[in-house]
Amino acid sequence: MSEQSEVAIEQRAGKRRFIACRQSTGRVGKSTVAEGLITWLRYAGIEFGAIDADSQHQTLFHRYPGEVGIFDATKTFDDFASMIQTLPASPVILVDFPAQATDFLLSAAQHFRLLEFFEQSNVRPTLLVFAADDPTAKESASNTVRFFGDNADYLLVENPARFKSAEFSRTALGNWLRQRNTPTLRIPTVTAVTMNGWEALEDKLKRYLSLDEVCRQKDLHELSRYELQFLRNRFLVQFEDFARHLLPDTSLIKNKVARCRETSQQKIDRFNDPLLATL
Amino acid sequence: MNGEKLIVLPDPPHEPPELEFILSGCTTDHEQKAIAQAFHTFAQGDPGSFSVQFAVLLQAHSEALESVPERLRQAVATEFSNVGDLLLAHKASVKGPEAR
Repeated sequence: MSEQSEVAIEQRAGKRRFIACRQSTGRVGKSTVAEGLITWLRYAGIEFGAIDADSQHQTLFHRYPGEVGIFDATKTFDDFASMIQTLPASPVILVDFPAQATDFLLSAAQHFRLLEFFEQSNVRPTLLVFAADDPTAKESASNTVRFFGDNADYLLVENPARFKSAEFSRTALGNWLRQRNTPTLRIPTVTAVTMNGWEALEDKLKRYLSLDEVCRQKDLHELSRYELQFLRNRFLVQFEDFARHLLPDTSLIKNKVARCRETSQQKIDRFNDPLLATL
Repeated sequence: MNGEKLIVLPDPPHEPPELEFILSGCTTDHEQKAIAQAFHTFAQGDPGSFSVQFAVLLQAHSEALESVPERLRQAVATEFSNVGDLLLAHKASVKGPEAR
């Protein structure tokens, strides 16, 4: 991403970020991404408030009871209004919405003039868009982008284990997001054996385990532990890379991830390229 | 020809020493790229995690290995010097009676 657009994103970030994790179809890894984001916010030492609006699953609420509140804001406009009026005062607010709630959320946002409210309150929204090829997901994403337009920042999510994204990237919406240098988060594949092992361990211990906690559990097979550590590391690295889209100010990051020394890329100067010079 | 180079190709980009060491065993560009990508992906994240710690160990090993040729040269030089002294002494003792 160019330095200029990075600065532009930071300038319009406002004082708070409202991150909406939403998608029209289920089982795409929505709560996994929200969990990854919470893991990074905790690791980076950033103050945040999180709301689990998915009353059916309540995954986040169970795994992070001290940090995640529960609020079903997708039944009536009253519920939605209450949620917006009682948003935490933290610099980062994360809301995990249930699947198939896009139409309701957009109607409520229109009804309450959410864009104006956000602008007046100095809140900049960031919307997670799951780049799935199925028609419902594409329609949901295009409706969302049509409503929010340039009044929000976006983060594309690809989850090769759950859906394909080739068709999505060829749509006009994919192109629109690319023109805005929208970063893409890729969720690494985690085997069913590991996911089942995590849930089995929760059943055995009779309590929910966060991603941080399960990575340290000796009762989980070490291969599964390494697989989950890799998932956690990929979340930490990618969210830190996309911090400008997720935080009001990147100086809020207190703890950064370890980085291997990167290859120094040579910049190609096409004007002075000796191989292209005319003799 | 004034001896000036017409084409100055840029130096190849440098990878971390531990990665250079692993890549030295690769035969194709494709293999090198795949390994370099995997290495960079695994070596980033929480310093307490397995993959990052493994990368740190790999780095320590490669740095230790870097000094091996010099240590080996010193060890061999010392041994050669000892053997040489011994040979000279032996030669002198053998030559002794002839000189007389």
